[in-house]
Amino acid sequence: MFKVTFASLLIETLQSLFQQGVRVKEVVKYLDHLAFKSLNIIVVCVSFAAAVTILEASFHMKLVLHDDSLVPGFASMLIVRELAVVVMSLLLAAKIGAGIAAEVGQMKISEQIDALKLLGINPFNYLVLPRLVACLIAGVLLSLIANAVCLLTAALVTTWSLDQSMAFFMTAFRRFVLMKDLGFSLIKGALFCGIIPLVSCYYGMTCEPGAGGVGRATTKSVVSSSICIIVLDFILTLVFSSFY
Amino acid sequence: MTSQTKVALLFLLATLSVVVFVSFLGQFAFFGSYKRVVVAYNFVGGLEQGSHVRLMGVKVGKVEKVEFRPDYKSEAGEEVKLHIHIKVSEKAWPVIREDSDYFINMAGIIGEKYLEISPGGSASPQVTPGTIVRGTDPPRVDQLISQGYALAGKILSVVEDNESSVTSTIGSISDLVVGLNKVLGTIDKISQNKEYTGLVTQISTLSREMTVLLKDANKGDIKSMLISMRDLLKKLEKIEEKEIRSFLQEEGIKARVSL
Repeated sequence: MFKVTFASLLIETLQSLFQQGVRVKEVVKYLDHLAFKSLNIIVVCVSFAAAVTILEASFHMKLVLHDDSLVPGFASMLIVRELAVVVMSLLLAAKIGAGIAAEVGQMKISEQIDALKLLGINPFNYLVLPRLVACLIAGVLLSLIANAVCLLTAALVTTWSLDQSMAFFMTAFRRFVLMKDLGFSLIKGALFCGIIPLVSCYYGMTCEPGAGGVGRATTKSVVSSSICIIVLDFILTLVFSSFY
Repeated sequence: MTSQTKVALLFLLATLSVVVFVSFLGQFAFFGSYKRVVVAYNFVGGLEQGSHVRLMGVKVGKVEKVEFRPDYKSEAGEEVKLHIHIKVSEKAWPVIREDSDYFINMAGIIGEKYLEISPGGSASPQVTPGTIVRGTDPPRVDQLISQGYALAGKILSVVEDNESSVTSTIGSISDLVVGLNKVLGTIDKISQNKEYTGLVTQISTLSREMTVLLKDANKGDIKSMLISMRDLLKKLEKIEEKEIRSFLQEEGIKARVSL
């Protein structure tokens, strides 16, 4: 019977990367499934999140300072450093995390993973590694896209709702946001998205038999991935703050 | 659409996002060209790489690099250990002359530091790109505070050493203030007295009339009369005393004449 712990899953996956390499075709397939097909959800959600951020920040600044001229600067800094990448990662955790856990869990309870082992195929290299690599790449790409979409939405909302010009938004953005903010955002995106397949595959591979077992594995994977993302975000924010 | 195409599209979107982000940040000047100059300081007060460079208040470039040069000496022999490498738009470059000044200023609510260039005189030659120019060091607030603190300490020690004389000086000043108060009270009373007010009015009127009189005196009639009188007196000086006396007696006037 196939048994696994989170540590062994991580080690075996990394070992298989160096011993057997990664199948590029599978990575491309998963990039399509995991990243491209999540693009529409991410674009819609981060756009609205950015719009709400601008409106809320404006509301509070007007309430306290009677002036919302600093909103574009603060909001764009928040978007690049946190909002875009965290919202994107949580969305991916909910969408693809559940999918991966269900798929791997189904394979586990139907003993397909055991069959893979019998055929001499490393299940970590076959199931976990392509998803992990695809998610790491997707994390970087989707972080870039989410940041750009967020900023464009924030600029538009600033122009329409706050009655400030696009040039004013750009000036505030340049004053507050640094190039390294984007770099840290991409690192966060890659790490957050890297957690999702590891956690999901782990819960899939430790799935209990039956439809209920798959359901529980799916729920656990989404909850655990989300918690891991939030906690890792806190740790990375602390670490990256020391670089300023 | 195949998976490869979709993934290629994803990479293309990500690349476009990078372009959007970088152009938002203004890191690349896609259609701009710059010239560079090095400004030397001994203190920059928080100016950083990426800070703006302004010419007459207009953004014209950025600080590219902050470099420490511990052994550098200017042509005048001054040690200037901090070199700020700046780039300035080619459009603005002709305005920068050899007699331009390079200040470090602060702007905005968050106190952003920027380098301000004052335009030089048109008679002065243009700055050669890449040369090292001397900037004006901004005032050091910490130094000012420490100097103020030292000054306060000295004042305190002077006061403590001369406590008796300081006390007597303060007492004298106090007496002076009391005396001044009394004087001011008296002046106030005088100003409220009607007689004094009338007197002041009369003096004022007299002054005005005197002015008119003096103006008339400068006019021709009175002036000629005065000249005639002076001539008469000169003639009288020449007449002897006896003749005057007899003349006056004839006229029935008894007088003592002494010329």
